[in-house]
This record gives sequence, structure tokens and C-alpha cells, in this order.
Amino acid sequence: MIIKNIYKKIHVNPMIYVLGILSVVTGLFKAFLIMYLIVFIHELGHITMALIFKYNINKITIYPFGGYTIFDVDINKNSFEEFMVFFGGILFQIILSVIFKIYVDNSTYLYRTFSIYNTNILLFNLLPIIPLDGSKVLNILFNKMLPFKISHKLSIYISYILIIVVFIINYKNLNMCMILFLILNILVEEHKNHIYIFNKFLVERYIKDIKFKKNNFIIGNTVKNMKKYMKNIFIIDNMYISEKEVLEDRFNNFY
Amino acid sequence: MNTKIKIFLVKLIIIVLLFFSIIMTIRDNNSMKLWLKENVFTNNISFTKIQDIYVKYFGNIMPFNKYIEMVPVFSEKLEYIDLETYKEGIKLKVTSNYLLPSINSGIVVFIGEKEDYGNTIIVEGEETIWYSNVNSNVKLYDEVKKGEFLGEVNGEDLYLVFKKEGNIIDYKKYL
Repeated sequence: MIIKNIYKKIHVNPMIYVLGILSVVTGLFKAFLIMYLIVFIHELGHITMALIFKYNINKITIYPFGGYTIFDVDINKNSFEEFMVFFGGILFQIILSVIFKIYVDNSTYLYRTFSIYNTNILLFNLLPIIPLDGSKVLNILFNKMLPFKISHKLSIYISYILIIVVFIINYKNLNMCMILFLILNILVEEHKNHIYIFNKFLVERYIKDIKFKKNNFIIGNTVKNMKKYMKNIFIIDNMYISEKEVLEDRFNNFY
Repeated sequence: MNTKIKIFLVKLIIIVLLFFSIIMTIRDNNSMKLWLKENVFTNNISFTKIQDIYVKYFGNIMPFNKYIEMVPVFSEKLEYIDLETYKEGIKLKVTSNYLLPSINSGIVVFIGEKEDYGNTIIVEGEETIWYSNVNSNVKLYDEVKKGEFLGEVNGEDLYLVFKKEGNIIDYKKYL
């Protein structure tokens, strides 16, 4: 059962312990606990949706800005699934806020702090910066219009730019800088892995039989123009060539 | 699995032994009990001091800022009918079951009975203020802003004590 060993897969970034100790010595530990309860529930939303779609969970890391879950899943999946997994986080936060509204007195510090953090975490995670949730939605949108390779690169570049923007607004706040630094690390890793991610996208299409509803015609044999969510049909020398044939060329002539 | 259980049991036994040895040393040692009561159970870490230093150099602690305007502040100044000194502070005569607004901003570090004062809320900020004979609406370790609702005064008598770093300070500038 996937759930059985889930506790082994949860990692906590050390910065959280630093923030925890800081919150204790400054008397703000209630706020700290409330915030990480929200983060935890948000991640739980993603995980629940992923389990509904039968994804395997690779690793769950809790960072000061939120959680980051890595799934052991194909890149080529349909956009509805991807959107639902993204939406799971927000959904659970909404459910949590309804529970608080019903059961917690709105004159209390607990309720006020909860509402503010709930909103702020939601909004922050909607920023289109990899690894935040916002980048996933943006990536889905890009992939509907543009080839896979360029969508991924574009998401990465937009993430860099937005990190700089957020930094300029918040450079005086050490904890925010620390969060941006952690995000930057993940982004750089993703940037380095771009070529491997693109390759995985191609290998999956070469090996598996995936059904698509839409077609995408590509003139020439540029594999870089292949789009996600669609069946790519190449037009080479006035003939229709399937993906697998073009990829056969690429993978067998690779070395 | 077997070794893990053994290690766990060894740790458990060590904890139990430590616990009982401490209890046995304190039990009949009155000066030790007094020292503990004064230093461990009474003194708090000065949360506000540390917070002020950190915020001054490094900005806010919790990553996503809190909005001060969200707090329902409903009264600017504390209204009272009569004032007289009482022990370390003052005793105010207020309207019956007066809805008490906080005089200072800070963290609630104590809620409970204080001898000769009644149920007390201690808010530690730049100054530490005791609000006594009050039925608390706030919980321990809540953050309180100036003017925020603390609770109802139990009757017509409100006792206040004003301290800063352990020393009594003049109440006049707060009322």
C-alpha cells in the first residue's frame, strides 16, 4: 500500500527547524505552528489527489514556503489530471478555512492568524515560480499552445525573473531571502535537468502507446517542436511520418 | 527490529531513572525548590526583546507578513472612573464588567491567579503590564496589539501593574 511507507518519504528542510527555534525564542511559536499546519494540509491535498490518480510518491519535502512533492509518474499525462493534482492543495486549504469558520471563534488570535496565513500561503504558492504550484498551471497552459521543450524553458526563465522581482521587493527580510534561496536551488536543479526531462518526454512516447485526442502537425523532423497532450505527426518529404518512426531514428542513431 | 526495540527500552529506562533521581534530590531540599520556583517557573525568556532585536536587523520573522489592520481595535484609551494606588500598581474603578482594551502591544505570557490581585493577564511588550481581576478572552502566548480586546473586568475593580525589565515604572504615561 502506498500509504504504509509514506512516513519514510517525508523530509523536512533544516530551515524549518531554524525558523522553529527562532519562533520559540521570540514567543511566536503559535504563529509558527499555525503556518505549518496549513502547509501540511496543503501538501496533503496534493498527495490525496495524486493517490486518486494512482501516482506513486517519490519524496515529500516540507520547506518554509510550502511543501514540494515529487511523483514517480510519466510526463505524458493528460492536463485534467495535472490540473486536479495542482488544485488539490488549494481545495484542502479551502476545506480547512471552512472548518475554521464553523468551529473557531473569529475574535480569537487563532482564527485571525489562521486566515491571514491561509490566504498568504495560497497567494504565494500561486506565483508562477518553479517549484511553486503557480508554475505548474502556467506550464499546463504553455504546453497547450507551445512545444514541450520551449514551454519548459519558458517556465524556467519566467521563474528566474520573478525570483528577482520578489527579491527586490523583499530584500530587507532575511527569512524571505532564505526562502527565495531555497526556491532558487530547486529551480537551478530543474534547469540543469531540462535536457533529461525533455529526453524522458520523448522516451515515454517512443516506448509507450499513448492515446491522444488532438493532432499536431510538424513540418520537417524537428523533434523539438513536439507538443505535449497531442499526437505529433511529422510531414517529411510530403509524407506523414509518425512520432515513433522519427524517434526511432533519434534513439537508434544516438551514439 | 529486535535491536531497535532493545535500544528503545534502554532509552526508556534511562529516562525513568533520570526522572526519579531528580525527584528524589528535590523532594526534601527546600532551597532547591525555592530556586526552581523563582528562576524556572517564574521568569520567562524575554520574548519581546529578542523579537525586537531580530526584527530590527533581519525583518519580520514569519515569512508571510501579518496585516495589523485585520485586528478589531475598538477603543483608544482605557476609561476609568477613579484611581488609587494599590500594592505595586494601581486600582481603577471602572464601569461594571468593563470591556478591557489592551494598553500595550506584546505577547500574553501569563494568565492565571495572582495573590491579592485575582485572575491576571500579563502582556509583555516594550513594557510588561499586569491586568488583574479580568476574565480573559485571550489565550496564553497570543500576540496582542494595543487597543485589542483582552477580556471583561470581573466587577468594577481593575488592578494594573506596570513593569519594565522587572522594575516598577510610572503608570501616568499609559493612562
